[in-house]
Amino acid sequence: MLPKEINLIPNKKTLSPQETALRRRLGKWMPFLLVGYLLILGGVLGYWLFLSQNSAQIEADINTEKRLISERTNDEGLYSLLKQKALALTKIFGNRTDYSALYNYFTEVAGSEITIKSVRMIDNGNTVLEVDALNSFAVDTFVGRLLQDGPDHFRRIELNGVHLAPGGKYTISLEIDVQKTSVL
Amino acid sequence: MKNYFSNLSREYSVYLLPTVVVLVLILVTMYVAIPKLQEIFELNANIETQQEQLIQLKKKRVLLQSISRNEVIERIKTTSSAIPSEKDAGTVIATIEGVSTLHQIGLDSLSLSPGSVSSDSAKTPLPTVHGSLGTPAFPVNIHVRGDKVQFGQFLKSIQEARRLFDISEATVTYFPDAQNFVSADLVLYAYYVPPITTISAIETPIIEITQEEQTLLAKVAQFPEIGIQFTVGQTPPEAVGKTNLFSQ
Repeated sequence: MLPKEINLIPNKKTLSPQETALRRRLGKWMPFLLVGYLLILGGVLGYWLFLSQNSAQIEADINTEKRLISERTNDEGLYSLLKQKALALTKIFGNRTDYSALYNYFTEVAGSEITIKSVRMIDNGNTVLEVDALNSFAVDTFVGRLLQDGPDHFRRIELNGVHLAPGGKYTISLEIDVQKTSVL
Repeated sequence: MKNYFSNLSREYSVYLLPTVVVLVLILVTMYVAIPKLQEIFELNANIETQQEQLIQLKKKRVLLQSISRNEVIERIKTTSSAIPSEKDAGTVIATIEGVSTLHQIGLDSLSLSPGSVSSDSAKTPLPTVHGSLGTPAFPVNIHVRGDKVQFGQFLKSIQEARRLFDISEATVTYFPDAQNFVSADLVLYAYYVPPITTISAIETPIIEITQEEQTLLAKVAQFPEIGIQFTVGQTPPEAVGKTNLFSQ
């Protein structure tokens, strides 16, 4: 008959070998686990505190800047007014047609053999010219010069009519689309 | 019952402590760590926004502190003589007359209809008077005549004067019997910019005047201020001395 173990302390449970091993493992790893966890938790809380303070500091700086800006409301109003005018000027000058340059160009191109009867210029670049030419050679020269300058300055040149008038003069009607960006 | 729990704790004493520890860790994670992590993410995003705002505010403050009030006022005055805040028909007439006189160009007719000039409606920018530009303006029709060379200079001056005009359409007719003379019908646009009445919120970044705009402002300041300004409706000066040449 095998000897039988008698539990003399009824309230204390005798641990099995597996339970003993588990307790030993837990006793070894649990402190590491707890310390590790607490370190991570401490890091999270510390970082949160740091960010909170940082945010509060920036907020204070923002309020200071706002106060300083509000002290200069008048300057801001004046500056905004000037900016408004500057913007208007940019728009105006960005869409301008230099009428004087156009007028001078056509006067110069006409020379002595061409007599300009009328020029109608519109700010979209559309220009209608009516000229008298002394002879067919003058017609050729005038139209030739316009065609030569065409690629640089005009989007379109349309010869609307060439009429031979009594006395050998030619009356030419032209429609030209001037490029706004061109500087004649 | 008491015995039941007592037996239970005795039976599973090995597992009890780890279970309690794990439960506590889970609870701490749920109620402390996770909320704080969420707050960290929010704070990070918030700080980024705050820093951006602070940079903008600093930039705005530095710009405002660098402004010379007198210089800005002077520039506004100069620019306002080119583009006034109101329609101001008086300066339109005075400038056109002035430029015509300067270049010895005869001003045969001038007509303009600026609309409301005395009420608040006059301060409201018209939506599309000179459509493509978006800057409020009203048309002025003039008929002029004069020497063809002088007329070329007149065209230049009318676009480079204070007050500022743009030519929308020009019909130039040459005199058949006097080739040096021209007559012209011009449609001008006189610009005006109703002033801003409110400034943006403190946080709104200020839009700086660019270098190109500075150059343009300086260019316009160089334009001559032509003509004597008067207000339409202004009472002419009272006649003094003899008013009837035929009276004794």
